[in-house]
Amino acid sequence: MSAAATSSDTQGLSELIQSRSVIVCLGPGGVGKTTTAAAIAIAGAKLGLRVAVLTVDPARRLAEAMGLTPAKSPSNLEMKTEPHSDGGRGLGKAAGLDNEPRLIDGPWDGELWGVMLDVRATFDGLISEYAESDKQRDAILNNRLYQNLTTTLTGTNEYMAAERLRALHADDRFDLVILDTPPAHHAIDLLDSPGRLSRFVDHRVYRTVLSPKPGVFRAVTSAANMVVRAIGQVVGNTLLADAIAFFNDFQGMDQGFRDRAAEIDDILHSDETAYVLISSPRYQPLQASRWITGQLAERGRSVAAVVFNRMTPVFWPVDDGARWEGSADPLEQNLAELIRLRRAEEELVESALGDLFPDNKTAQKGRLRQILIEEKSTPVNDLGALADLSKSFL
Amino acid sequence: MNAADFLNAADFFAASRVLIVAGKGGVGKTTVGATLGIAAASVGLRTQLIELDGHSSLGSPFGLTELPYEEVEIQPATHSLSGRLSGRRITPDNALVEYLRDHGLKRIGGRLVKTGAIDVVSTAAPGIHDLLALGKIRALEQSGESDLIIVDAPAAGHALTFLRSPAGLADAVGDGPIHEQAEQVLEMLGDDRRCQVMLVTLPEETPVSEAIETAYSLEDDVGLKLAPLVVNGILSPIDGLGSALSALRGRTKEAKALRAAARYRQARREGQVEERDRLSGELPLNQIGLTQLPTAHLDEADIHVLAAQFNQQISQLVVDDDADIGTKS
Repeated sequence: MSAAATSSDTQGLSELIQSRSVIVCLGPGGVGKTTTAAAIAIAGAKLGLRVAVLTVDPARRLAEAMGLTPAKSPSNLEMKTEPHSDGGRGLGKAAGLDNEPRLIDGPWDGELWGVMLDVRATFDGLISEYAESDKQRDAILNNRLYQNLTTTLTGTNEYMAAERLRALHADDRFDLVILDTPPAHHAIDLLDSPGRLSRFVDHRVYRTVLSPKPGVFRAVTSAANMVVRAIGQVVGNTLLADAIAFFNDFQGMDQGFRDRAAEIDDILHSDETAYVLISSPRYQPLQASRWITGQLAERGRSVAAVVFNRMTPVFWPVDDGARWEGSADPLEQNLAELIRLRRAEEELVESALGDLFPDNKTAQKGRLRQILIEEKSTPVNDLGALADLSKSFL
Repeated sequence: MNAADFLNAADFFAASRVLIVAGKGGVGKTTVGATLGIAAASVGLRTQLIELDGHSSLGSPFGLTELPYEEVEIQPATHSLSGRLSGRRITPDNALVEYLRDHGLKRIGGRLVKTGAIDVVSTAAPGIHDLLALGKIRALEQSGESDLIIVDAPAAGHALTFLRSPAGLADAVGDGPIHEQAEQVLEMLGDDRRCQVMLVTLPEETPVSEAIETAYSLEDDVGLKLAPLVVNGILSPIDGLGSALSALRGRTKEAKALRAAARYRQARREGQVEERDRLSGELPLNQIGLTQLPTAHLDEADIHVLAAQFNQQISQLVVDDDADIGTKS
């Protein structure tokens, strides 16, 4: 336990970091999720672990600090030159450097690796891995519906993040994988996404369309056919033809995808995986946090630790703030305002914790880790500042 | 150069009927949406707030949770709020079903939703949900029931996707009802007398960088007109804090606390000023600053304070005849 502890509830995350192999960071947008994930990863490296942190959409300065540059999407052309499938590890290779872990040097005993998610490359890699022939692979990679799928099907980003997480988890270069997720309501898709593509391609509508029996498409008796035609009416027949071609091409690959989805699901539901909620002491992010926690609970998962970023620093004991109130002196006025803000934040956090974790009252206090991080007067955007921040988690 | 005029808030809000509020997650977009609603209603416009899918909660400062699909009154017209403020939530599924119903495809709509085939529709034609939400907004614009429609757009990256959807679809779909809808929405988005976008950001590095990128994308790729930009969360200055700090002597507990607190505020304010300077250097848009109120949960009274700040600053913007309101003259 470190001197950074600011309240009796704060126990750091050392135990969590050392006992789990996956930490998923969840939270609403704009609360410093990526920064926090990176700082937790550094804490892990300081504890001697070999840690990979997978980030989804880091701000440029932070990406630079971690030795990651923004990913460029490799074209399908590049893909074709790569042999597919060597047990998942080929993914990064096929995807080019940006999807590959990079070692980040720093003053720690363990290792810190940064990985930036390249959604398209990861998905292309999966297709390459499961395609039964080059022809099948190319047909899918060039299909317009497939290309749309990677950018628009709800949960595709999350699915690919989960897939990348699986590959890193299976990689014996790493003891711990930390996942920084996209904001709030997409983060929950992470849990649902692996099954989503399977459900998508399993839909009975396509079964009908893809039925090998000739003439089925013309049969008006099937409700599914009505739906297919309805889709055609809404989106036009060109797009419908693309869709039909996609599902045709996809045949034979679905079992592979289903198996992979099950594997990812196992990791996300395993006790090796911890969920850390990251939030800030403001009404809207706390509302979003309530929602996230509820969704996790519905899926049988719970939050192991909560990090509240951007707390106004404590300059004076909050319960003794009244003595500065009402002063005309600018210094006292300033202090009074900051104390008032801090008190309001603590109240909001307290009430949110009560709602978020009703079981966590007094008796079990201490089971849930809570970490309050004070707002810095300068931004955390280099490795030194991240290393400094990591002390809060040790 | 023509004679300069001061803009007044009523003119600003009446300049276009649709105002889309966009910004990165966590910048207080929803707060700004609610603030604009009160600001516009207070200068006499019948104003409607629209939240889209996600976790927007425009109604929360007014004690309302999720808004319904049908319009509800948020604040009635009173002597201090001469326009009325209403709100609604447009969800993509609702908009699609309504669209299909209005186009004689009611039975199909039900089926698409029931069978989950709606996923195929939106994957085959990406952005169709967004387009239909925008189509609904356009229909409200055309109906003239409100003087101003304020839309809380999806967070930054998604806002771009959202606003690009009509152009993408107009190309992809070829013809038919969706194509027609896309063309109509494009017409609205491209006409600054009908629609403007207001970006919201915080005076911090990442939000500022993202605002700059989003602004150029919106203007260049989507052809949208940008209104003045809102910089939210500004720490207000405390008169005399600097000189009091330099004059502060002593090593008592009290003196140390006062000193640390004053330095904290000053350092953060300096950072904020730097970021606002960078923003105005890189983006030729007027800035409206809204202060960070010393509370963790804004209520109705706070929103009125921010609305007054907004209207006061809008009325200080100088526009000449040739310049846009958003662009600095």
